[in-house]
Amino acid sequence: MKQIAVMKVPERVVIPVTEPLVAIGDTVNVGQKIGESEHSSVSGEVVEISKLSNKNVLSLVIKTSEDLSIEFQPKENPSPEGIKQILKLAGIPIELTPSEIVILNGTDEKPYVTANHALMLEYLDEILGGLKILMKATGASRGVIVICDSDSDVMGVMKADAKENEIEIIPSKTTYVQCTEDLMKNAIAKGSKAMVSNIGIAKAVYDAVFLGKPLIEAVVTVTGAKESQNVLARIGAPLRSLIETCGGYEGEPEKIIVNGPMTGTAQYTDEVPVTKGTYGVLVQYDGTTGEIRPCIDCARCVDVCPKDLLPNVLAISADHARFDVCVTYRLKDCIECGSCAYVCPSKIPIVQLIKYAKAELEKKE
Amino acid sequence: MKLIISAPPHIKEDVSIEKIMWSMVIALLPVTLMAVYVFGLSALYIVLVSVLTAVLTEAILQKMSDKRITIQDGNAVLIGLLLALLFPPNIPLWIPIVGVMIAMVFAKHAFGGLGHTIFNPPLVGVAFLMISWPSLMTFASAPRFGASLPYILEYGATRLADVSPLAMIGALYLLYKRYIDWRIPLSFIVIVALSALLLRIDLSSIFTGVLILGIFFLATDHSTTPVTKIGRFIFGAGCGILIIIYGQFGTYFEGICYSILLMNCFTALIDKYTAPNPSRRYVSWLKKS
Repeated sequence: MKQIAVMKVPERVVIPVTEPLVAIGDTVNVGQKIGESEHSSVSGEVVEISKLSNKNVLSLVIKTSEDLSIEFQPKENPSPEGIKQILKLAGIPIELTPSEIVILNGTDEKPYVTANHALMLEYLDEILGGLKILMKATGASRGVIVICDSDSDVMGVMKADAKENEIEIIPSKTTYVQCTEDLMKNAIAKGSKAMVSNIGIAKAVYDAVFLGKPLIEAVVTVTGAKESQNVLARIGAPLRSLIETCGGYEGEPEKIIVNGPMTGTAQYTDEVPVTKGTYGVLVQYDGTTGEIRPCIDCARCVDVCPKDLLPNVLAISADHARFDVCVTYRLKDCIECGSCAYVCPSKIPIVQLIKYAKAELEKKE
Repeated sequence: MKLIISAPPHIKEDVSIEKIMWSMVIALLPVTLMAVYVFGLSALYIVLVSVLTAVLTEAILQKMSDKRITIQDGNAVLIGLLLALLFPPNIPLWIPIVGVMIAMVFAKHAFGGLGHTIFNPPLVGVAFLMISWPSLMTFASAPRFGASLPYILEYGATRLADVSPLAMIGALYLLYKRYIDWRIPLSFIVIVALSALLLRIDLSSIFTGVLILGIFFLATDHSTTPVTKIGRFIFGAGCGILIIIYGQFGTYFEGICYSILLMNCFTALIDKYTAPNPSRRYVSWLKKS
């Protein structure tokens, strides 16, 4: 079975660019450099350069015509320095730090996101190759891929190949906060220097080094459309076109969320483009979350907090503007994973209150 | 297309105050039915009067203070039912009315209602009645016909909850759904059992229905117990120790009532001194993975 559906080329794409290298009216091709670290994901004509949704960043609007691609030129056997250069040119958002272990995060926010799972089934060799390159560039001696223990199919496929390439596979419990970077670092590296990256990046690294292809596509899990599936999306394509690829809406949508239901952002329109960091789109048809009741100190939030905080104290102190209490109870350690607000029987927006307290404290500094 | 913008998380667990409270009420229904079976209609009247008084008191108080009426969340019903189960079966019916009103007015709403209580409302009601009319609150066991089945059907019971400790098995479901906390009952039971073994007390005289009710439904009341993980162990252990002390010098029923109330006094203090320590913030999580 094919894991990843390829979307048809959207009519127009919107790509945020820091410093545009092209002007209105120019024709661009697939993979052409259009900004500092941005590349066109389609071929067509630049019709607009303006500040669209985000007030600080310029966006390029490209109207697509036929799908023409520039010729990708890979470099032969690059040095670690060379790799860094290539990755920078390909616009891959990754920071290479010298480390002993490179960890690839293959866990997903199940069941809403399965992009990593699909990538590992579809592009196994590329991912292992990408990890090898990252290890070479950072001088790491260990390569680790963390996989949810429920993904036994991936584990089966990967085991032989990983052994051949001397890459470790570490199964992790299929829970939600597992995916957090520093928890993973602490659990696996145990003090030695480590770099955490994800499966999508590893594939992009492989493409950049062996094919010379810049980062112009992302695998996105679309959930809540008629056919929920993983889609290989062009960067800059509007969410609407992704949802159309999956058969369209099932009814009148009330919420569209980018990047997982726990930490994702609710969007105000479905014209928002796919960016390099997009991995999930969730459509909800019932956006209500229930009435907010007083906190009854049931301590369910305390039991789930991965950072061993007291979310009930933080939320109430933030609500009462007692930010000094928030600091005493280690507000800054909160990773905003959302577990506390998820289990809250009183439906208190704990994460929102914590974010508010953080913002207020920042203002004071 | 109109889309809703809101802060994450965008999914919530299917749990609410209503669900927790009504589940606790349902978990108490078997023992209530057993009490009615053993004691007859007088038990039924006590339960009905207690629950009705609790609901009416809450509604009237909230109407008077111009607040939203929240009798549908089940907390008032639960308080009424818990109080009823602590009564002997032969009391005059004005006793539950007074007790429930004391619990609702002075223990729950005077402190700010649901979530703000400091002392366990049903126990405040019982404590008030025991001090005011001690003779009415005790019940000499009447000889009854029929063989008792220990822990399942006790004809010698002196209080509604005593008729069948095993009928409160629903507490296990509450534990499984995490509607009540497991740490308080665990340390509570361990301490009581250990002390009973050390002091050579007959276990069957301690593990009565009222104690089971105390452990799983009264000591686990959310607002009046600590929130930290260690704090909850300490709370349960404290209750256990106090019960044994009370039992040695008084009655176990008083022990259940006053030990939980006394530990409620320490809740804020326990929370303050057991707040999670930054130096071991990762430890508990990493051990699991």
